[in-house]
Amino acid sequence: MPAGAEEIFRSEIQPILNQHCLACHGTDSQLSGLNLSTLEGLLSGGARHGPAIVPGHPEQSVLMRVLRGEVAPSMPMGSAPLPDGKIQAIAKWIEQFKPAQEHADDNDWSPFRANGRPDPPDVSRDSWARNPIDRFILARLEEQGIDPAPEADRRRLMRRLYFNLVGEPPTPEEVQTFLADEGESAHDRLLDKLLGDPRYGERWGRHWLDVARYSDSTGGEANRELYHMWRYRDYVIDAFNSDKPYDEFVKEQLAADEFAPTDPDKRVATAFLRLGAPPQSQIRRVARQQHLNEVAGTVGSVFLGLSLSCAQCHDHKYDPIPTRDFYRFQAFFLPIENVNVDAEITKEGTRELVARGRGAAEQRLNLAREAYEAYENQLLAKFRSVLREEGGDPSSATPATLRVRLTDAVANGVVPRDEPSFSRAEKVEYIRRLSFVDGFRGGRDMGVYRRQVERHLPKIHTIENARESPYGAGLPVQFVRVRGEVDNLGERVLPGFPSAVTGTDDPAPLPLDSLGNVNRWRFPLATWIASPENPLTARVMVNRIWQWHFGRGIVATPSNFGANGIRPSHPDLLDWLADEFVASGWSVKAMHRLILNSATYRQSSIRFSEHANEADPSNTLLSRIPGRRLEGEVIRDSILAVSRRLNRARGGPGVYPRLPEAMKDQMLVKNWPAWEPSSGPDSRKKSVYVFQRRQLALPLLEMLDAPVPQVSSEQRRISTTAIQSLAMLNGRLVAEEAQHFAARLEDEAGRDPRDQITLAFRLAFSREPTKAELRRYNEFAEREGLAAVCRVLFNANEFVHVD
Amino acid sequence: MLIDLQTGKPTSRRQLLLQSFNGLGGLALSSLLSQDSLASTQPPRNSAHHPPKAKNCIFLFMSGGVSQVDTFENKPELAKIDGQRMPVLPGLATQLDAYVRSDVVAVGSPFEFRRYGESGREMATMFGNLGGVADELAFVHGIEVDSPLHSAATLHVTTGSVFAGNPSVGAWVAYGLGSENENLPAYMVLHDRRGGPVNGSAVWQSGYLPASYQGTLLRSSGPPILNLKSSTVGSAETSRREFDLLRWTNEQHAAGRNATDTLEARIAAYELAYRMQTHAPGIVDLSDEPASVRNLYGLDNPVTEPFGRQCLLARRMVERGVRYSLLVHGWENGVYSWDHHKEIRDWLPARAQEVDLPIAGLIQDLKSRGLLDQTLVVFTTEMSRTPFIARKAYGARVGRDHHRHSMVSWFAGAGVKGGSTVGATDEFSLSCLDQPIHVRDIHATILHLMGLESDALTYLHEGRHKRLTDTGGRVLNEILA
Repeated sequence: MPAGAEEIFRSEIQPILNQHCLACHGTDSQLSGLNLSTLEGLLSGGARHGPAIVPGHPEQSVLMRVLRGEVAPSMPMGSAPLPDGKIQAIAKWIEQFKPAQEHADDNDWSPFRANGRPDPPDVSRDSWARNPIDRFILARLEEQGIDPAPEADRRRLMRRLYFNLVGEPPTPEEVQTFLADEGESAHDRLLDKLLGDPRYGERWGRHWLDVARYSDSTGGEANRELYHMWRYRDYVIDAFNSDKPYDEFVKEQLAADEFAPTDPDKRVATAFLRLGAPPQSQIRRVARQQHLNEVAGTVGSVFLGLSLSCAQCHDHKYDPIPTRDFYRFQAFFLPIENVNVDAEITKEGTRELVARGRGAAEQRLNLAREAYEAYENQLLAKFRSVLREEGGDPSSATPATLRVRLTDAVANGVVPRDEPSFSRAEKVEYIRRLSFVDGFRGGRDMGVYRRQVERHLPKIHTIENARESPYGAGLPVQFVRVRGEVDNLGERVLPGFPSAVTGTDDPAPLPLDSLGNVNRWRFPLATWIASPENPLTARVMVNRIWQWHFGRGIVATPSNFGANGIRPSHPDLLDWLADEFVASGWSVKAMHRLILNSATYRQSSIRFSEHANEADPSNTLLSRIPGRRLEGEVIRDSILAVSRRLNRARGGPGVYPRLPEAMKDQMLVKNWPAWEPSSGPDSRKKSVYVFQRRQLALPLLEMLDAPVPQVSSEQRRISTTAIQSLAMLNGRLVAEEAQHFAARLEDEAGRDPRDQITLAFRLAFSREPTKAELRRYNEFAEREGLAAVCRVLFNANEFVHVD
Repeated sequence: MLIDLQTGKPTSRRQLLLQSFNGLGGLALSSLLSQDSLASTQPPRNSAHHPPKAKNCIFLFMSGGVSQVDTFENKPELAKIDGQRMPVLPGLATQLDAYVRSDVVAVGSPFEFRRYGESGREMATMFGNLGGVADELAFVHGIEVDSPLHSAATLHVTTGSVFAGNPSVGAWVAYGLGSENENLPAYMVLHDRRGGPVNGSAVWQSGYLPASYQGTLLRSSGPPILNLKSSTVGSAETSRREFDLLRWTNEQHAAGRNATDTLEARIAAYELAYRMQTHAPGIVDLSDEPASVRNLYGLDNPVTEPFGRQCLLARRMVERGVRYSLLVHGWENGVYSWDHHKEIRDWLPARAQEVDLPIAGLIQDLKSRGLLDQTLVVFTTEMSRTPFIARKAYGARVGRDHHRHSMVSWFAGAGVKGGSTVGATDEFSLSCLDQPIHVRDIHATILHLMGLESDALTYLHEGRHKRLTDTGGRVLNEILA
């Protein structure tokens, strides 16, 4: 581009577009996929017409043609055409405009090709950089003439680190200790402490559970409970806590049944492959194909950042992924079958917790069983006398015949049978006590207790390869499904890696047993994915880590690195980090240290520079740290931590915080309690341990943008609604915990209201109240009481928002 | 400096936020939040693609699969072969699902049909009240659904996809248009008092759209919206003092952070919450409705009262500018739904009786108030039923299984040509004749009437521009005025 063309865009063209076009085609609305707020947006264009401009050729540029009314609809839609002067200015600029050369490398950057380890660039403000990350960041900022923000003050930085790494605010003591320690190594010590804290795994495991579409029930109409899925959740938490090398983490989730079938702590990882929503067809072969599509698509997007699913029906429109490759990739999964196997709980603490839970559940079950049998015996006695009167054989009265006598099965349930000997009320009561969900029949309560026992049994959900093809005799064979239609068989294909990455569509070598049968299907795939040579795997994971720290990935579509995803903002940095990640032995914690020690991360969240605001309004270049509203889980956990009521017990089957009374109809599925409210401390475990039922989320978390766990979720949305405000103001959690928070203040701060308020601010905001705050809160407390103060603090932006 | 787009005058960010808040359904906040979160960089358009015919939509969803041949699609040929083996129609075998077996027995409808209105619309007499407004209705026959399973089909009809996790139609509308009422959400949901539909909240969720667009469940008794009332705060005065302290605290906090938009948005959200506490209870307070109106909806009869109340609330929401109301009738898929595998002779009329009068009353009431010109009413279910006997049914307990090729829906109100029909099925209602009509065509038509183009209403998600209608969607011009 001739010198100045980009400046002309910023100074002359952008304001025109801002004024007339951005309402519909801005970063925010992107109608037709068109975003005219940036140069890149103009060049990549929209869904309907392609690129908005052809550099050097205004007459061929769609932008000009719609502005001049040569192409319908003329723009701006529904308004008068732009003044001639503005149209000419744009035309002139397009004519002078030549595509940028400065970032030729960026444009060439391809996710499918390894780029080696780029050198950190030279920067003029060398002293700002604390490590190589900063040089990559600063280089881009300097290009734009933007200064990085000053370092955040230590108190705010500390709070940021706590929320980021352990998902709770620091205690006042921790704040004091850190602030008193002014040495340069204080930061390091804090990092060590937080990365070693078991809450770290609970916080970061949750990130992975979003990606893994984690859920404790299958979803769909049956929505069956996955009784042992919590073992996978604990596995993920432990993997983060122990800093399990990411390559192992990948391999275990994809194929542990093939290489460590008898190691429960590894094999449990394969539950990842079972977490997809159930297929939506009743036709077996269709359902099977849908299942395999889900598995292949999810593995592609989670581990490789490739939207393979797009190639299910047609060759990928944007990436070099032919349909054939989708079915070759899927072929690795052909023989998978879901199985539940015995697998002891090896983890200390969890083992005891589960044993206790099992004992209690069995006891409840026995009591319920006795009660039910007593009830049933009464009915049977009556049944016998009825039979006697009818001249039948009284000894034929059994629980089974009783059921036939009293009920009729209709397609979707059971109704009282039309017969005269028992009253309708008796039949209704009988049906009420029966249960027909999740395979447990018997008294309804009994069914619930049996379910509770089941959750505590030492089993895992895993997969194994079918000994024979699930389709019949012989080994499974894969065909391309033309247009994605199950019965429209195309070419036969063998398992193989995406040709876009390997450059070949040769079949992958699969290990054979002595009889010549394939004995490992997914292990070769897992090994290929978790390999330093794979150009995607490390990049995709470091990008996720980056996103979980900064709110936005270097590639802002972390599960889609393809052409249709968003291009990396700092491709060299991404490549450097990926290389560093592999070199560190795939250590996630090593990445944390690198990132959290950078000057980039330590910047303030406050926008200091008007220039930065204009040159980089979306802060893609990171000239400050984006402030963020915390996730629902963190908010709930922080409320409980501050009220001193958080139950820090770790692991084990999911817990069920009470739902609002108004939701009681949703708690019943076909008359079966879908939610078994926990009482006491169980209901106050950390949010990561809340039972995650598909189609029934904890309302507070749902309102605060918890993901819908049907599909892999690459990023949390952040929305702001009045419904959230109502939940935080009036919902039970805040109301109850505000009382406990107040009690804590009275307990720990003594009787002076000013001391109580001071402690409240320290606990909730990690700071002292200002004089004005102390005065106003004191006045308010005198009138409305201390609990009302606590409620206001829980609702404050400062509580739910991290700088 | 920010310019108010309507007045052209400078305005504060806060003012702009409040003005554009549009109820919590359609809040245009995300545009102002964009600096901090990629996730919220796609705000609602809050403006139509073309002049809308309908400002509001009432979507009546009958859960369970209404049997079309017993309600809105009379098939005399089917009656003729009642009790005989279904003839094999050429070319059908490949289209039909597992439910279709070769040895099935045809069941003619046991119900009486009649012609209604000037248009001579044929309907089962169990919908006699609806017959009274037959000339307002435009029918769509032979609609193709992607699945014959309740869960998937319900999601298909309510969200455009058989897989959960996608935004519901109302969420798209709220995203596209926002709300007209500052004190209420743009998208409200009322489900059957006996319980919610299959899939629960997945039916009205916002999927990958921000949570602000999801349907808000309105309860017909007690506090109408979850958490609307405080369990601890007694007086309005206390509540106001609490809000004031909170706002002051948040303003202090924002001032030290040169006011990022997320913080401002949250301050505005609390102000809306405060107003909702005052305004929302009024919607469900029906004491100001005269007896004549209440009776029009059947509130005087315990059979029609529950759905009648839902319908009356829907009219009140239209009056208050709620964009989209989803009314669900039928609980799960048990005996209280439209899922009649058995005993269809008893249960189908029982369900119809619950909705016939209330829906007719709704249409009359909207019309007499001049609201039908701006309100679109859509009646649908999630699938059709077989013209032959269900597997588990026998003798007098006749019923029908699931089917997915011949669903019937109807439209009424704004922009709809009353008395018209589009689509047709073969003589046994097995599949669509001629050009197939798909669920996405229903959705495209709803969006079109509301001023939105289905191919232009997109949301960038994981690198793809997602649409309600995915890659297709034909506006059913045949039934438009």
